[in-house]
Amino acid sequence: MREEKTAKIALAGQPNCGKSTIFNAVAGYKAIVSNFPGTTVEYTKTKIKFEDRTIELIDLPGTYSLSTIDEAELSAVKFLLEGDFDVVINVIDASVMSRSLELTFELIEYDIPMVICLNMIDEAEKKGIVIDEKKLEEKFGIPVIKTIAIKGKGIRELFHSAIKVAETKRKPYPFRYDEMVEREIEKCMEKFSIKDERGRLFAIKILEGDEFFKRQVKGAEEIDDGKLAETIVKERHALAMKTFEEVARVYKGKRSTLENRIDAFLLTGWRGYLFSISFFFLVLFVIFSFGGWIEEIALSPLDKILDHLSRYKGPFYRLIEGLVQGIGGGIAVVLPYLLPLLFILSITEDAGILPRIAFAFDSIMHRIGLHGKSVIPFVIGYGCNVPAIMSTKILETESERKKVALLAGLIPCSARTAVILAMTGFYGGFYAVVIYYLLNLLIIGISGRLIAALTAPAPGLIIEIPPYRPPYMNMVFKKVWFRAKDFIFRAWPILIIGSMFFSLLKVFNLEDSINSFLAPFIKGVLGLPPVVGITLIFGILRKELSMIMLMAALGTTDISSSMSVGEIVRFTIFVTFYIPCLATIIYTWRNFGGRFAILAALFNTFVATFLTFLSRFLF
Amino acid sequence: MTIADMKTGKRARVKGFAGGWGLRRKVMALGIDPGDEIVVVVGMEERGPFMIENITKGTKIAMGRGIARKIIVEEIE
Repeated sequence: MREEKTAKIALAGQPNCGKSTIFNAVAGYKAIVSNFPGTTVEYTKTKIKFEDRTIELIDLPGTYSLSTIDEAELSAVKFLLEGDFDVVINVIDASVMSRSLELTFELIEYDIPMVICLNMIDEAEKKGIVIDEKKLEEKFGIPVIKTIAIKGKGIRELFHSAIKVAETKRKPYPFRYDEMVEREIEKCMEKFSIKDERGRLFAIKILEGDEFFKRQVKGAEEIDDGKLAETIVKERHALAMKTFEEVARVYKGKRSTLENRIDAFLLTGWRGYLFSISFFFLVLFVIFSFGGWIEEIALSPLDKILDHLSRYKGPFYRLIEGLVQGIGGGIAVVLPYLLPLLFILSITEDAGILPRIAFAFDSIMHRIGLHGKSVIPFVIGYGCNVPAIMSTKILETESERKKVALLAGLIPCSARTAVILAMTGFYGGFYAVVIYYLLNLLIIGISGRLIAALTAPAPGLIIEIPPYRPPYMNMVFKKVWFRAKDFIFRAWPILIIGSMFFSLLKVFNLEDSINSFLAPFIKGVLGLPPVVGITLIFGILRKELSMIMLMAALGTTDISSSMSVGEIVRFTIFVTFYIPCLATIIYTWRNFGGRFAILAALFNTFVATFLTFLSRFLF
Repeated sequence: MTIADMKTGKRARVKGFAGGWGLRRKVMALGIDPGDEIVVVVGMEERGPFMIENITKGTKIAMGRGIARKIIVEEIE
């Protein structure tokens, strides 16, 4: 039997270079196994079939450089040092090539088999940049392939070339700094006797003052020459610019100022908020009008099954009921909310709208210790908290992502909105709902200020604003599926198991004992009737279950006949803020680890308890 | 003067940076270098972030006011 041929290929490049487009272009196609960013692996991996071989493709986080200050950069550096790959494809956005080459020079220092991919050459040509890839090949001694990833152009050649390099282990030519720096590098290698193949890299990084590398070499901590560190980075910068001038020609095209005029019109002052808020409004309108409708259609057959099952007794039927309930919980998240939100998110990302909204919201978000980009998860949270947690990935630092995940969990998602509308809306009217939402924002603002006071502020905003461009639907669909898969295959099964576990509570008739166990808290602290206890436990599966079960427990759909106004208000407040739904918890766990998921759940429950208790004095 | 002192539509040439090395590295990584010609696409007088186009490099960058205050420029008429 012929042995199966494999190759491990890693994609490295700066943010927005189209790296993920390349990844999706091949990974969406014939994907075998997929791995997703989690708590330990920061990069995305997938196995694909390419012609007669299996390729393990690794998508490293987009980084402007390879200094280890940034968490994304550190994870890329660690990956490169571990060396578990055959070749690295350095993806370059050809339209901003001079800047991109800096990362290329940093990669060359790792002395690894490499291929260069000049992506978005169409964009570059539009800007009047013409690149001679043969000259670049001669200079670096490695293959250079031109691609337009979004249209799938050049991808096949790129991978052919990468596989070849993976076999021949062809490495780029090393480059030299000026004599003074070279002498220092040699001295450093001598001093710490680091003379193996990694010696030069370690010496350069130590001289650059990189803390991560300094920690690896005994005695290197004392090295601290700011001037030399600057010289090294500046020299690489200069080399990148010089190389660009050597291999590319820039024809001064007509510079279009139309886009700038549009940006100035849409984003100056209050117009920025108007633009963003109308955009959010549109998104939420689409989600709520279609989402609710789809949810109803998708869940009605399941409701019939549940109705049917409720006629039977016995552990077996209850377990099936739990199973159906769990499947339903997943459907209620995925079909109506997750898929449409991911879809809209992908389109706005590709079309260049998302970074502009981040820009518009920068000053407001600064007040709660965050910057503009973090507004996105908040808005998405109104639809569903799961994609909101997912979208925290657009933020740079782990601490920002956690802060936003924590606060976004307080946003009433569509399920909680159903409860708010049914309770506050039905018994308090339209204005009560509006006031309720404003109070919710106020509470998020206060919590944000508190968290900001306790943690380090987010670094100042500095992001690239891509041009407005129509999204390629093909790419959008692949992206949506790729993101949704994670929820469907990882979180949903746990949701189903959790749901079956809850039905066991019914089997063993634990409802009453749970109610009496929780009574001191429910009655004593929250001031609610003890019968509410079990409904709150089930509400963890899906928030609207609390209300449905409450109606069942009270034996009436007219809750006001058996609960006072104060009790209805407290119930609504508690359901809105307490512990996130199971799907959100699972997803938070997958992204930030168990400890943080528990912390988030406790935080929510604390806020809920506090507010409910407080409202006892008002109503 | 710095980018933070500029009005929408004004052009300038980048002279240097006022911040520490960490900031300079960040700004340079996004391709803003001394000598580059820039134009302010969106800039507000009181508060809020800035959006600039780097005409030399053909890129557009948004930055918070704090960072804009640390990029020294010279206005071009």
